[in-house]
Amino acid sequence: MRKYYKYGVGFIFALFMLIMILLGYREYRLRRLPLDDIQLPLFEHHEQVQIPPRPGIHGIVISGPVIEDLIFSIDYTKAGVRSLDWNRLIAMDPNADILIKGTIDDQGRLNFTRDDVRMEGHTEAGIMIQNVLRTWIYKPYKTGKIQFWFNLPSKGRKLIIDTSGLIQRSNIPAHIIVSNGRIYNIDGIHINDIQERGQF
Amino acid sequence: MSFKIKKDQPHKLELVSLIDMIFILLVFFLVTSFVIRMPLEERNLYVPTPKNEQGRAQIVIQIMSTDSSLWIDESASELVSRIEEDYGYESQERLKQRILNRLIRDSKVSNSEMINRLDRLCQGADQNPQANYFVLIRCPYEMPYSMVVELISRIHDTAYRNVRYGCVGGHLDDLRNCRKILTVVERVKGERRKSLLIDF
Repeated sequence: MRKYYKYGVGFIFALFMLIMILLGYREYRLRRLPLDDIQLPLFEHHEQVQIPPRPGIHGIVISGPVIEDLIFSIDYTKAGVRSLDWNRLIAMDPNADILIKGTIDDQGRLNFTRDDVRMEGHTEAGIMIQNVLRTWIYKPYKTGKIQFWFNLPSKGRKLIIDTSGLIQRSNIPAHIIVSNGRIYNIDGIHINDIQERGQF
Repeated sequence: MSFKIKKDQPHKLELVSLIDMIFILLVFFLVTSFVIRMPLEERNLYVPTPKNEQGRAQIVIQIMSTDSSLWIDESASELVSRIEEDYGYESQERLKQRILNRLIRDSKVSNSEMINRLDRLCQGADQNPQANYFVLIRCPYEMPYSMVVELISRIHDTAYRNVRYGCVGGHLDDLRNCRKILTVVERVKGERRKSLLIDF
């Protein structure tokens, strides 16, 4: 009987060595694979076969570049753009009521003449506003009419900007959305005192 | 005459045969249990086929001959968009032909150039693991499949497996005879893109 014990032990040892060799070889092969491929559960039940990506044969859509939308605002990179000092304006004339009807051209410049300005009250305040507004240059995304109504004695909005006359330039494709950004350069004014809206 | 009574030979246990039988049974049960756990689709050799719908790809490779192919990527939508803007007054059919002629002319590359572009794509994919690419390879039925295999081998060897591919049989004439080819603005994963639609 002792002989058979020897055979048994030998068999178990051989089986053990075989398993170790197989595991070692498996470990060596799996090490080169990404992590997802290494973690293979032994008893996973697949509900359905994962269908590999198959391109359609009816047609194809080739993804294009991302459309970057544009922001129409004052171009601060241009030299000479000045800001309006709101506190100084109020100190100069707290009852100033000034309406400026301007036009933005293809280069983004804000143009208006003396006839486009309606001033009531202290003319110095109006002159200061005009001098500052003439320095404003916008990004060349929109053109058209724009109106600035400085209504300082108002209990509500003290500055109303009418942008309804602005239209997107024709050299910008229609699928690119141009939205309004900061279209005034005024220091010291509270955001609640400003309103951008349609026609007034 | 004296007859010797034969003594019974001690029975030896044939361990070698026993071990062989155990291994055979082990292999049998392993294979059987694996087959039982296979889902129905695999047992019936389910082979998914392309759906008759529109597909989506970042790059389309149309193999034309053994030394030339078409490489259509996102730059094609810019090209088609320009043609649509410049020649929008033409009839649909004429505009379509103009677009196709220009697209085929500008997208034609040699095989070596295509290999270079694929390598660059794979390098870009390795540097950008978050991006996902899908390359559609269209190969005429009369061309040797080894050409496709070469392309696939280049695409398959990326670090993050984020370049997937699909293969369909297709000739350049399918492109020439497509029903329509135009640019569309679509929202893909929150981004607006101007993509190229080819409707076969």
